[in-house]
Amino acid sequence: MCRPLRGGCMVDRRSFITSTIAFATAVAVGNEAEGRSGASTPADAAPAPTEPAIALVDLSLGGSAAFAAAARERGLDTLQYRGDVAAVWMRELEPRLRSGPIAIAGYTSAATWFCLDLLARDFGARTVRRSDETEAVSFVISQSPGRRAALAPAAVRAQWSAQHA
Amino acid sequence: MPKPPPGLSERDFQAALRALEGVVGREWLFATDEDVLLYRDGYSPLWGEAEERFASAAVAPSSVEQVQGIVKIANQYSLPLYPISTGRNLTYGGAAPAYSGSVVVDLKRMNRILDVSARDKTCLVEPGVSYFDLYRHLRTNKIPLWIDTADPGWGGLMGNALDRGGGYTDIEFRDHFDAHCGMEVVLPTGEVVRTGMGASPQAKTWQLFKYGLGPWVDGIFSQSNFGIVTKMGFWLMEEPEAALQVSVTVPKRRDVVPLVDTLHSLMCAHTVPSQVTVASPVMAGNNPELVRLRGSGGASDADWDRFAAGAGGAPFWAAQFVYYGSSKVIAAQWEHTKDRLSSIAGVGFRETASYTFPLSDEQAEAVADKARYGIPSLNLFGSRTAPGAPPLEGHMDFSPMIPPHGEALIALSDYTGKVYADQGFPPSFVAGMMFHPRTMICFHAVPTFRNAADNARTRKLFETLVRGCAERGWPIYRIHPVFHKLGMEMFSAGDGSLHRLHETLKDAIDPNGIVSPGRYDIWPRRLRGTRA
Repeated sequence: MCRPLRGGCMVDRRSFITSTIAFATAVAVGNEAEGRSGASTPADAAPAPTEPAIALVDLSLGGSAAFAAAARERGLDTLQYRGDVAAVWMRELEPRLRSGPIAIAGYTSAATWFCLDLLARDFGARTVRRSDETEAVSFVISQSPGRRAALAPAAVRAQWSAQHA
Repeated sequence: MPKPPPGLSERDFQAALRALEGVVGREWLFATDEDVLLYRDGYSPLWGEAEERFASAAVAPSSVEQVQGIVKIANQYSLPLYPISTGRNLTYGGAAPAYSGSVVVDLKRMNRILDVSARDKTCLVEPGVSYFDLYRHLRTNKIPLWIDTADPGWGGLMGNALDRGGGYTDIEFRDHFDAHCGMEVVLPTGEVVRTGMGASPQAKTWQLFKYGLGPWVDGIFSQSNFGIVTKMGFWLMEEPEAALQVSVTVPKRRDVVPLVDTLHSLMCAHTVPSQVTVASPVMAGNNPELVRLRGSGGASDADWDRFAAGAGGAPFWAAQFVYYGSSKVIAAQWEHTKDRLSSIAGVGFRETASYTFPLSDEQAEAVADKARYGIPSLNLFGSRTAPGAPPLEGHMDFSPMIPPHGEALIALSDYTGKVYADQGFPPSFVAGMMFHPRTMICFHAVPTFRNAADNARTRKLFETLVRGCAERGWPIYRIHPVFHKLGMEMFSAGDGSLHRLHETLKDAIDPNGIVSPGRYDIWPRRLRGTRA
């Protein structure tokens, strides 16, 4: 198993796919034993939250099909895109993070992970696991209880006070 | 635990934090090391060094009243504040304060879209509204208006406009500060001011007429520290019937002069409506001969044209732009453009994309150059790194402004090419980008690193570029907070009279010097002469 976050390691593709999905699923079902992959980080030391997990896969990357298949096999709602994650962020990820809590198991470019890691912070979410491979990174971004409150309120709404109508 | 701001005792700092908690609630005050690190500048040119800028805490208000409460406490304790909207412009400092030790006022909770008028083609938003938010609102509600988005599109409308950023669609919208109409500001005294027609309580034209009556003060709240802007109105583009994206190429180096002159004339006549990018495919890449030519700082047109001929005959320059409107009008505009440019020997014309609107979600996702169609995107990050490369390194934007003249683009690229080479950096890409109606910006990426030695070289490169370009008549239009003092030194006419005017305004508007000390080198009296 790869160490989460504090330094990637090279493992065979099958292992890191299954381990990332397993970690995300463990996070989802609150299985502490499976969720702690053996490395010691503050994220692993905290009790694993109970959150639904979704998978996010960039189909333009090699290995993505296997990751997506593993995610579906585990019962994860799998979101797919090619290259630019912005539309999926707007349509799916941001609303779900806003209503929370969820965990996101991702197989994306490093640039996309970089963006999602920053964007997710506004919803109290953090990267709790990350592994590097030749073409992609796999990761888990999780909203955990006890972390910072989500900045964005429950709904972005259009309203105008009656006195200004 | 983060340290208090300079000059504030730990006891007073803790008292101030408790008071801030009383305003926003405990969960919206962030004062642990882990929380404060979220506001670190991930692309800082001072990464890991003693002078790197850090927040001491952050507070996230949800209303104008809470902002006023924060300002009141800041005045009481002389607590420096640093308001941000989304804080995501990483090339200009991100969410990190200009003055280390400031308390970041994170306005992301104030993210309501207060009004959108399809009839008037306007909106009114709070500081936490991102391009993503407004785009999704327009699409979800089938409102036939476009945003003009920065690229990448994860930032906030207000933050980008207040730092005078730009986009890609029609000229009326892509100068983002110019596209605003009316604002609401919490002054450092806690008073709330509405500008333009908003100052007339019953006016129905706050987002329709910019100036109101009397002095137009909006400008002083851009690239400054005179208040916390809590609402801004913007003009929005009506969704066109169609769009046509085109490319115009010219074969020789000096052809850029008639190319830019003609395109600029067409832009001024509103025949070419969109932002125009003039880039050089020939001057891109790491070919050793290219690097030598760029590093020489003065290779002749003949040398360059010989290189271009040997490089597979790629055109020396390519201009990209878009027409918007009815199909018939677009066709006429494009024909006229070709007529005007046909006198350049070897000119090439290509239609690269065409669309009719509205687009379905699937069609919108498939658009290649999304920002030109008001679609926010994160693609720019992926285009910057090789597949699999971790984007841990960053860059700053160096943004000198030149007249819309091809010879200036050549002269500047010659100069900066030599500077990069002399200081041991690979050459930056060369592009002139016409965001504004009468100028061209030549963006350069200046790399930043996670080690002090490389960042010392980067800072030296950046300073050389800022000074050297200003000496040649090409000062920057925007700059990273670490270099605000340097940037403003380039605006020293009248023995620094502009800077003195800024300080006069600061002393009057913010007597206790609490809002963003040091931003654009505007210091309150109590901190004047401070190194940030």
